[in-house]
Amino acid sequence: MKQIAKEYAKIFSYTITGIVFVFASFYLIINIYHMEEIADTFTFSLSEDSNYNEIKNRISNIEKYTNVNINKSKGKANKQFLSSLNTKLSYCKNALNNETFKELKNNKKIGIKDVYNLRNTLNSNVINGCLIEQLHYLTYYNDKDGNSDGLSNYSDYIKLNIDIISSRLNYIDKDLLNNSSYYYNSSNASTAVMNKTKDMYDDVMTTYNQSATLVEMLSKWLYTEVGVTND
Amino acid sequence: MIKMINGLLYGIKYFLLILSFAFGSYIILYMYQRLNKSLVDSIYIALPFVILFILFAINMLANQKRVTSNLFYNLTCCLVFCVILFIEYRALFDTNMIANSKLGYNINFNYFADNINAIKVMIVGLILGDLLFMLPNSDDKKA
Repeated sequence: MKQIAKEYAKIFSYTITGIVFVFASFYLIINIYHMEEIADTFTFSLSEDSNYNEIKNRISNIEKYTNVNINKSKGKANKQFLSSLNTKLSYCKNALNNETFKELKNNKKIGIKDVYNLRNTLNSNVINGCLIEQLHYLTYYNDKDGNSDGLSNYSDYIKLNIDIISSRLNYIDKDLLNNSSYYYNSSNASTAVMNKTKDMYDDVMTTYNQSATLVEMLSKWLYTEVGVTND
Repeated sequence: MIKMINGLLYGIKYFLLILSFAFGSYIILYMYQRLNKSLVDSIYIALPFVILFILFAINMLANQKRVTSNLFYNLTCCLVFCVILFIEYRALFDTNMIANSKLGYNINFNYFADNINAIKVMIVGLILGDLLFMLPNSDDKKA
C-alpha cells in the first residue's frame, strides 16, 4: 500500500510538472507569435495608394478654390460671411496638409505605430481642429437673410459627414487598442492576433480622404460663389 | 553532462525567480497606483511567488535531492520564469501594442492584467510539483 502511494506521488509530481511545462511552452510560443504579428509592416508605395493621391489632389484643389478675391465677389452672399469661411477653409487646408501626412511619402514601410501617429494627427488637426472647431458652425447656420446664398442647404449633409467621420474614428480607436490585450483562449484572440496594420492604415486614410472631400466641397462652393481669383 | 546542466538550471532558476518577481512588482506597483487600489490587494499576486521562494529555500537548506537534482523540474522552473519575464518585457517595452503609449505610463497594463492569471497558474503548478516531489516516492529505493 505504501509502495503504491509512493508510486502515485511520483506520477502526480511528474504529471503536474509536465502540464506546467506544456502550458508554459504553449504560452511562450503564442506570445512570440502575437509579438511578431503586431510588429509586421507593409511596404508603402505612393503610386499604389489611391487614398494618398486623392488627398493630395484635394488639397491642391482646396488651395486653388480658396485663392479668391472676396472683395470683388460676384455672388449674393455676404462678404463678411465669405471672408470668414475663406479663413476657416484655409486653416483646414493647412490642417489637412500637416507634417505627419507630408512625411508619409518618405516612409518606405508602414507599421502600426505610424498608423497610430497618423490617426492622432487626423483626430487633433483634421477632425477636432478643422471639422469641429472651424466648420461645424455651418450645420446650424440659419440663412434667413440669405447671407450665405443657400449654403445652409448643405448643413444636413455636413452634419451627417462629420458624424460619420467621428464614428469611424471611434471604431479605428477600438480596433487599434485591440492589439494591446491578448487572451489566448477567447474569441478576442482572432481579432487581436491578426496583423491589421494595412487594414487600419486604409481605414485611417479613407477617413482622412472623407474629411478632405468635405472641405473640398465647401471650398468649391466658395469658389463658385465668389467667381474671382486673386491671380 | 546532465549533472552540469542540472546544476546550471538549479542556479539560474533562483536568479530568474527574483528577477521576474522584481519586474512584476514594479508593474503591479504602477498598475495599482493608477487604479488607486490598495497595495494590500496585490498580495494575491505576490503570494505564490513568496511561497515558491520559501519552498526553494527549504529545498536548498534541507538538501532535498528529489527536487534539487530533478532536471525536468528545474528545466520547467526556468521555462516558467522565462515566460513570465517575456510577458513583463512586452508589457514594458513592446511599443507596437498601442496601449503602451496611449495610457501614458509607458507600461501596457491591459496586456499584463490579461496574463496575471496565467502567471499565477504556472507558479501554483510549480508549488504543487515541488510539494509532491518532496514526498517520498518510488525512486528513493534506487537511490
